[in-house]
Amino acid sequence: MSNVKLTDGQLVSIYKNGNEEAFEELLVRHKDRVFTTIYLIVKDRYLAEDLMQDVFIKTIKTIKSGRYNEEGKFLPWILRIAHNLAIDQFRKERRYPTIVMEDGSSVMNTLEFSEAPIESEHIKQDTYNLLKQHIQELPESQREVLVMRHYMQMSFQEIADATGVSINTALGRMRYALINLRKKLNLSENAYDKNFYRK
Amino acid sequence: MPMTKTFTENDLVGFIYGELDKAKYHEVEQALLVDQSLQEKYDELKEVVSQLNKLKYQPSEKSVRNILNFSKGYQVHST
Repeated sequence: MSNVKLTDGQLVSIYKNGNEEAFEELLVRHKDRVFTTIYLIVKDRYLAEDLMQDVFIKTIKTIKSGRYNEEGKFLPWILRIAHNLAIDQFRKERRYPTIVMEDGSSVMNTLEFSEAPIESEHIKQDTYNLLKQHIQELPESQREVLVMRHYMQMSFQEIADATGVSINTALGRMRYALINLRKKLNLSENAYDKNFYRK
Repeated sequence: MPMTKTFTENDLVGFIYGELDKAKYHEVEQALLVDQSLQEKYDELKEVVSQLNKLKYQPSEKSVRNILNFSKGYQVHST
């Protein structure tokens, strides 16, 4: 590809005409965001790898068969596919009923996931890894808003429409998510300090 | 007479993400200049947001290769 930065829409058009490098550019540009969106929902790296491949395979088929709607934007479109596949898979795999608790969080958050101990082995004591860990511990409703705002680039109004709540509720969930993350990070830092300076 | 505060803490989140209307944005901005407790809350939330903005997971090289190989091998057959 040339050095000129092409838009996603231009890359899609070039790819549709058979240029595989255009697709590679799209993949490199967006793979991390798509993968992060999926992983934060399914909380399982191996499943997230599979689902990310499914998302891009769906993308390839849609574009090559000429069914891609060029009026829409590529990234929000592919992120919507990723989000829907991840949510479907999350519910199918777990087979847990969605019971909403009084605080609006799902009962699923009280359950341990089998992969957690394996994940824990790899967690290093740095801020980003702690942050990743703490995001996984957020109530589902808060994690959902966080993923939609940060990784799917949706506005709070779009999130409110997509999740069937008021914009104030969407903002409130984000606020609690941020406060919870802040508290958890502070607790982790304090625990680390106590460990470090143990007498 | 002191100004009456009409925004909520949720609006502070809207402020951080740049999603308030002009009037509300201005109101929060002014309040931040004089209210230290609000400024502290803002700083704490803003710090987490900036960390979240830098956070990402990366898929394996194998997954990326699989996708590229699928694309190269996928042909649409017209009937």
